[in-house]
Amino acid sequence: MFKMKNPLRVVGRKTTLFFEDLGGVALFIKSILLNLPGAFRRFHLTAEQMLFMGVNSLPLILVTSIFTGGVTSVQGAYMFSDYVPMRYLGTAVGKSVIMELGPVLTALVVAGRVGAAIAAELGTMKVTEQIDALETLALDPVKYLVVPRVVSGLIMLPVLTIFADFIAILGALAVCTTFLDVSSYTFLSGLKLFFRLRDVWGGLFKAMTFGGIIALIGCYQGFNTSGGAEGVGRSTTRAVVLASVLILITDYILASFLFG
Amino acid sequence: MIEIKEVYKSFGNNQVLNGVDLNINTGETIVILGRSGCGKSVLLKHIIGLMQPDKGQIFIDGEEITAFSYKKLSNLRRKFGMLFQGAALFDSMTVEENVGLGLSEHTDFTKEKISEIVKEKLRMVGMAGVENLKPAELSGGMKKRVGLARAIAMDPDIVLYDEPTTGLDPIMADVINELIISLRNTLKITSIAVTHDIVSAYKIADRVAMLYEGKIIWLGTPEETRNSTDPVVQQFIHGSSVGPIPTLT
Repeated sequence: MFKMKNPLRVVGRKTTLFFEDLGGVALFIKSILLNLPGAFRRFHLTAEQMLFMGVNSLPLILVTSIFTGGVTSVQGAYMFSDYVPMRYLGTAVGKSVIMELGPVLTALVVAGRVGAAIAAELGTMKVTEQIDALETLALDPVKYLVVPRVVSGLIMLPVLTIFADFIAILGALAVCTTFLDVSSYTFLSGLKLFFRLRDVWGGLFKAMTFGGIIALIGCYQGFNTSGGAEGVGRSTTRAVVLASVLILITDYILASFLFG
Repeated sequence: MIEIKEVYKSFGNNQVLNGVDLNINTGETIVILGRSGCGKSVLLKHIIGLMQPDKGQIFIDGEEITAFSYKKLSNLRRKFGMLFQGAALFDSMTVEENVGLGLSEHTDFTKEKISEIVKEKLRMVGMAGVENLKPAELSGGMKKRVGLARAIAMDPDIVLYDEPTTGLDPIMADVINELIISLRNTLKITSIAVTHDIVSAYKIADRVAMLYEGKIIWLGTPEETRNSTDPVVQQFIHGSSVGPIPTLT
């Protein structure tokens, strides 16, 4: 017969688990920070991750950014029609791409591609005892596996975002000149009109934070995997979902401080 | 000498180690027998500091490792080598990189010197010529032997074997047994093996211990074990489903 669980016990257990997780993440971050200087001693490991996170993500970012730029200009033109002069279209596209769409969409794409891969790889290493094997060789898994990924995330997300911003604006320009009857001169002059370097730095700071979040969540989920192949699948899903949600929440908090 | 004193460990409501007491002498090979899931691997992971006991102490050469900091524990682990049940080779590395990882991280040896040591260790386990293969290209027995080469690459004082013969055919299992014996004889290392393979235990052990219900219930030479009157030991070594060990767990 179906037996109802005591709701107080369920709430208590969930609360304990939440704070256990929170404490676990805090200790994990502390361990990463302590090992950060070592990242440059084993730079080849970081370089490998930079290649995987950055260079190998370029095709996906390219496609995402072209269409993001395109759709921003189409919808911007639709909203401006009859009310706002089209010379402000470049301003709107530039600001939204540099401050918001570039960093956030790049981060969400990388969270799906790289965050999942990190959680799956480290999760598999965990369940096949490869992480234990590293420890038996007197090698710190955080130093060896986590720090290179976190450093790579912090460096490569801003780089990918610069690329994404550039491609998205090019995409928007192409759509404007080809389909919207807005000249390249009008678009570019609008783009320059309220351009502030601070917006670019703000966007890149966001990207760097998102890069850290993606790598941190992927590594944490991977390191806490248990239960064989099913556990690896669970960790991978959790890594992508958690990273995506955290990116959106952090985006709001950072935007309030940087541009609020 | 390794001393395990009153070690307790539980996972949730499952009490895995329930007051384990065991002394292991320097240079001896001890085999810890027990059913699958009885806590043998957990005990091994306590000895190398991969797990911390809920209660109790573990001493290695007189030093209590349960009180060690991560750094001290890390230094202590250089004395150890460990062969994992599934070999736990690093998928992304070649055999040579796997075996030489400890050397490249902890010594100032040149690449050539490390390569030379790796080749020698691979030769010792009968795996010469596979340096450039990836673990995915090796069979189960080959992986175990490469895992063994990695475990002894740093010339450890103590080697831990987690189910060294499980999943291998009898001939390959005997090859591994012979390797363990030859390593003990040539390198004079202390060996601790956990297994449920009785044939292997009789062949390699100086002493046999049995872990049952979280405690060491038996300790003796292979001969004494064979002649033990303890019903639990008898049931286990004869592989009988009838006896005091419950078959439904």
